[in-house]
Amino acid sequence: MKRRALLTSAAAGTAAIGLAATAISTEKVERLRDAAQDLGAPIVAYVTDPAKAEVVVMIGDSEVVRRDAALVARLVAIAKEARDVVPS
Amino acid sequence: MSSHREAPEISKDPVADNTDLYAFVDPNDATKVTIIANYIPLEEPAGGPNFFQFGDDVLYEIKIDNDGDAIEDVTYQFRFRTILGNPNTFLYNTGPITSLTSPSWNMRQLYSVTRVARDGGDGEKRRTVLGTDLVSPPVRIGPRSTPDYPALATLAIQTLPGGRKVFAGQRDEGFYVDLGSIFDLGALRPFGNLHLLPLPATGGKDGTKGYNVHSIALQVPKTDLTRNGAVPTDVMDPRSVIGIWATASRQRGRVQRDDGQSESAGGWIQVSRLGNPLINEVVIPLGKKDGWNAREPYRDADFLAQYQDPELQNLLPVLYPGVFPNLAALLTTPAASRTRADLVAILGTGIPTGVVGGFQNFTGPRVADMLRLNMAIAPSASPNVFGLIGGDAAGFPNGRRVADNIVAIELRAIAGVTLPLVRPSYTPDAAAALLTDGTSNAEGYLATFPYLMHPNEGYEHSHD
Repeated sequence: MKRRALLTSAAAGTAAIGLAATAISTEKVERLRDAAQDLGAPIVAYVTDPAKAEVVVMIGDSEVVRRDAALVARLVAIAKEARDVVPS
Repeated sequence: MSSHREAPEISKDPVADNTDLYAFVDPNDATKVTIIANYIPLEEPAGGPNFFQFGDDVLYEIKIDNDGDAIEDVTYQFRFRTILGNPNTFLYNTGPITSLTSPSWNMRQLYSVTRVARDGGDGEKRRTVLGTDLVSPPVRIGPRSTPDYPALATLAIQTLPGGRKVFAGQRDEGFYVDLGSIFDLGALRPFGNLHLLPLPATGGKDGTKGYNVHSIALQVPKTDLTRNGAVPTDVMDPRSVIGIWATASRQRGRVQRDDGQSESAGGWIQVSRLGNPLINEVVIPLGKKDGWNAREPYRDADFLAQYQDPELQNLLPVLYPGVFPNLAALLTTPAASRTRADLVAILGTGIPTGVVGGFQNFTGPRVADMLRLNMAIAPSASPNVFGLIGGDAAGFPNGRRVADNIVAIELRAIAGVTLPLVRPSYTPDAAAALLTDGTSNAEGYLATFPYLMHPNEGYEHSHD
């Protein structure tokens, strides 16, 4: 991943889940953008304890707690990348 | 103060900081109850250019328990949104604000009121929007900007369906307390010569004088609050008693954007609460204050020890040597043998039947910080600011009126005045019944809703 993309990912926190981790097609990005626009609000993902494999996904004034080891593992991997980014 | 900046976390978040809660049978219409929840401590009236306002990103709530489990049965929710008319000026107003639709009022707040209650008979909560786009009045700036403030503020008293009334806006800080002295090692100026580190005895200085708060005042029929809409008429009937507390909540997630704005997401997390005055302020220790603010009242049993043996009780004989000999002697006995059941009752459960003749405001054995109001007790024709310990059952700790002298009442109770209610052999020290910080509220109060005085003006005000 290019440094610029990584910085963008870090600045956005965990909102753009998955976008920063792997290269994806333009078509898929557009589908994601459309889906996000349907939601009408930013998405925040919050992992309190990776060992529990739980992620809180927040949007608007709602939230849902999901146990998803694969998703949490990917977020942990991204977080490790973000930790290594030098703040600008 | 009652609950101003009382915990480390909330002291950094003023717009979500509960400062005081009042609840009383309305003296102008005894079929109704007025509840006032204050937020934003110590507002300097000259607060321009960005004057104080409610938080658009805060959920403000007033909660009522009417069946004794310390879980809310009726909730009133208040949400605010700010309207900026002209973003190309730095001015809050571009001319005198003479009405709530004045075009020169550039930055205004509207709000909604929603009632959530289990009153359908099936135990399910139902949401009823009572009002939307209600106008909060401007802050009181000065004679040029807000020339007739009382008239302007009166226009902002809104009528809601079902005989309800609401006002949300800036008010004078009605709570009076000698902040400067009390938090200087527990000193009370009138007794300064008796302190461990003595200074001349003087009158008190109201540390909140000349400051403002933001108030949400709600007047509702008693039947809005009781189980099954019953009309409370019997003082000794448990159904006449309700527990009240106010909260502020923020969403779990907040992201700071690159454009200087922020966005919130997620469920609402309570960050502040207030039932009885001064609980989190002086009863709960520093290490537990933030947790206390986030907790629901029904889980307050963890704090029972602080009610049973409050730190302030132990400090009084030390700070005032020789002034409280009876209290000092009591404190030499094992803590387990002298638990303050009187304080647990007054502040934690309500006072059960049989303790004070003809009175009760007991909500059950569950210890919970709720302001308890027996709605069958009529308003007093001659209110005594010392409330129940002054022989006036219509005042604190039976609810709380705006003028009640909370500091003196709680000081006296903690010093042992109320201990004989549960320990008849104990004789309170003579000084206990005299305790006061020597303050009063110089600005006074309104005789009608919303009862708290119009705010201090930025242009001309004094803290002395």
